[in-house]
Amino acid sequence: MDSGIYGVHGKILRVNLSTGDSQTAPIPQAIARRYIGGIGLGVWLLLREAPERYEALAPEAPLVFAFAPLAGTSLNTSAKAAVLSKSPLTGRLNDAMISSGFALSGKGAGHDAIALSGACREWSTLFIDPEGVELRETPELAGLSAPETEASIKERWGDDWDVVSIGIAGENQVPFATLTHDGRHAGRAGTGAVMGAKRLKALAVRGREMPPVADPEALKVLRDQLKTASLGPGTEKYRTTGTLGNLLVFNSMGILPTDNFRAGSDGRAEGLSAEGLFEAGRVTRATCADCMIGCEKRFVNSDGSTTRMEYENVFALGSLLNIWDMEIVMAASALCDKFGLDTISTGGTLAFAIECVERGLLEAPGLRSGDGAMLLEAIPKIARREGYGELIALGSRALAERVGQGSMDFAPHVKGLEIPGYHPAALQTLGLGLAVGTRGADHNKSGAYDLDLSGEVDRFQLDETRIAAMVGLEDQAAVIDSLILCKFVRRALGDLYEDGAEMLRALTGIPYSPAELQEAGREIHHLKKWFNQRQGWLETEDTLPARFFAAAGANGGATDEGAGEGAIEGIDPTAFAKARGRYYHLRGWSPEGRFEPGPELAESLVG
Amino acid sequence: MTAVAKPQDDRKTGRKTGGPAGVAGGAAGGISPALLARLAPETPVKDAAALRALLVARGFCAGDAPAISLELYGGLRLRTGCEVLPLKAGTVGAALEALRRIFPAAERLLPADGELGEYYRFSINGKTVTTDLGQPLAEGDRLILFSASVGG
Repeated sequence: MDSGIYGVHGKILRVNLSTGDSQTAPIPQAIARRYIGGIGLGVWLLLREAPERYEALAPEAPLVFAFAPLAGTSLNTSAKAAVLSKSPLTGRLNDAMISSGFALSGKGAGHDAIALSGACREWSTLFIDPEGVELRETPELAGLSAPETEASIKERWGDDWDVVSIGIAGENQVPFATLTHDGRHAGRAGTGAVMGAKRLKALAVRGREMPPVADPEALKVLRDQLKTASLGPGTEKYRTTGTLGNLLVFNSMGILPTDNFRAGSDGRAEGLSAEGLFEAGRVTRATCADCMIGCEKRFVNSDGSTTRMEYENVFALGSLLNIWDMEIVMAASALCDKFGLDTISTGGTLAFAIECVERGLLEAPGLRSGDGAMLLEAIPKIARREGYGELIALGSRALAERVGQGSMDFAPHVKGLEIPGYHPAALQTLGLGLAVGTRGADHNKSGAYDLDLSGEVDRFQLDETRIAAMVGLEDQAAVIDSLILCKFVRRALGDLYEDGAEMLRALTGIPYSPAELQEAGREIHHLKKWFNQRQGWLETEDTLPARFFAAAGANGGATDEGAGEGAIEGIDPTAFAKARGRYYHLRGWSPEGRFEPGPELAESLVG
Repeated sequence: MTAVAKPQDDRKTGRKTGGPAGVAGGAAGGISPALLARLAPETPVKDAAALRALLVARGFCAGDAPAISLELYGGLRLRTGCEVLPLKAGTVGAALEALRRIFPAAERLLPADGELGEYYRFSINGKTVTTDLGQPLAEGDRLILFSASVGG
């Protein structure tokens, strides 16, 4: 029977984990249209479900899974879902993404989003399919890794379940614990800890109840066009070397963070290069569901097992710690996967702690730069919160608060989220993007490195002329994350807003226009900002650590005497302040960076 | 410049290859053994200068242009087996043209000139980024050719 709704289900599922009760509720059509799905719908739902101010790990803290209009259409790279919560690491919005079968089965289970609240009495697994919702106590799964949990659930209850689960770090509420599905992670800012605080070991979904498509023929044409474009030069890097192809280029351009961001390059970087591993036959390939790009490259370990090989993992567990042995770095990455730890925060916090030890600010015997054995020993300790692992499990900001003595100046974070593998002083537009990011230092939400490396701006300086383009990239990211498509197809698309509107028209029958989609990106960004303001955002958070500014002085700035080979000039703080002011202005916020929601938005969040 | 031919086996071990290219200013790196075998099967090419001279002699680049080095990464490096190509080129476009002629296999990865800037970028000495094929080069410049898809 034709429901009159195309492309989406038009409803959400709420589950109270304290009681096991569940209920469905309609999504107002105006909301579904305005915020699209995925991250857009998810952040609106999180705002609606959450108290005005709350603790990230409290029972009442919502955990939202939001599915996307394009998921299930076989449009290339569309098998993605959003996971949203307040981050226990940052105290701000955590809008994460997760890929592959879970995104398809989650939508196929019959809802556009799932909002969890409350906490289970015992370690449990939540099962959702079109037949209903069941919360089962599964204490026997506690202590297992996420892959073991996934395998156990499939073996016991059937292979048609797609599972997201947490490892030991999530159980122990490490604030940068991941949530895992099929070896992929909603990795950053601690979704795993939020699930752990709810004693929810896993969420299993299954189903094939995809909503009807308004214009299947038009969608098929678009699908074929995207397929062709996806195999062109716009995705060549991802198809050939994967993201690790960044590493040597970044090293050659002073962008590769090394030694806790004290430098942007190192002569030993070749040891971590994708190119060398391919030539040595140490790489296999894999893909997410519904993806033809296949960016996933897997390192073949000495024992024949494979480990996912991503630029961010290798930078964070390699160059940032002065570890240049790929066998060690991949072993560390596999451990992070096993225990369910975000690699960037793990490496970033370790690098910071090591510098504290070197400066005599922290006593942690065993923590040493460049020590692979130390790294492999540290990861289980962090996940289990044992020994010095308890300190690293704080994250770099909280650890700096504990250490004091000026250490915050070189703690590599924004809003508590550790900085990814792009040296902010070598990519200064991105540096600003990380500083104002609603999630903290998240390179997936800003994308301003595209500007820095466009040839149109001087990446070693900041000025106000480029800020409109930077805002535009943020809005584009919000739309891509709401449709959802992988950002790796962005160069395969012609105009994101035209192409996206065309896809949504074919899928939903709603006459989306490119301008409407562009406005949606802006509105979604406002929602994120508002969430943060409700949780206590302050203007002082929208900055970078002092290390990255030109006048960093004695605290290890890039221009300090003694800064090593590969050191780079810092950011001009005056130019940074002006550029940030311009950013607030273009966002339509107050000079202090505050967003004032209109009555329509406020009304949409009640009732 | 100190670019030298680097045995294939060294690259397979993943050992480091010289200085932090772009910052310390001393790019060293491997030159495709296949290229050397193709260009000079009888005469060993001992260093970058010799290879550059050979490429000029074979008509791949102009003898009166500045001596530069073109660094290749990712798919281009894998396809050509070449980390650093010593060339003579007065502009970015001339270096690109030389690359295309020396390695026809790279052509499949490189869009036409008019589209190149959409997908690839050049960096001169690890600092200036450009898509302008007319950008002049100077003696000793390091030219880095990299994918515009830098996220991940």
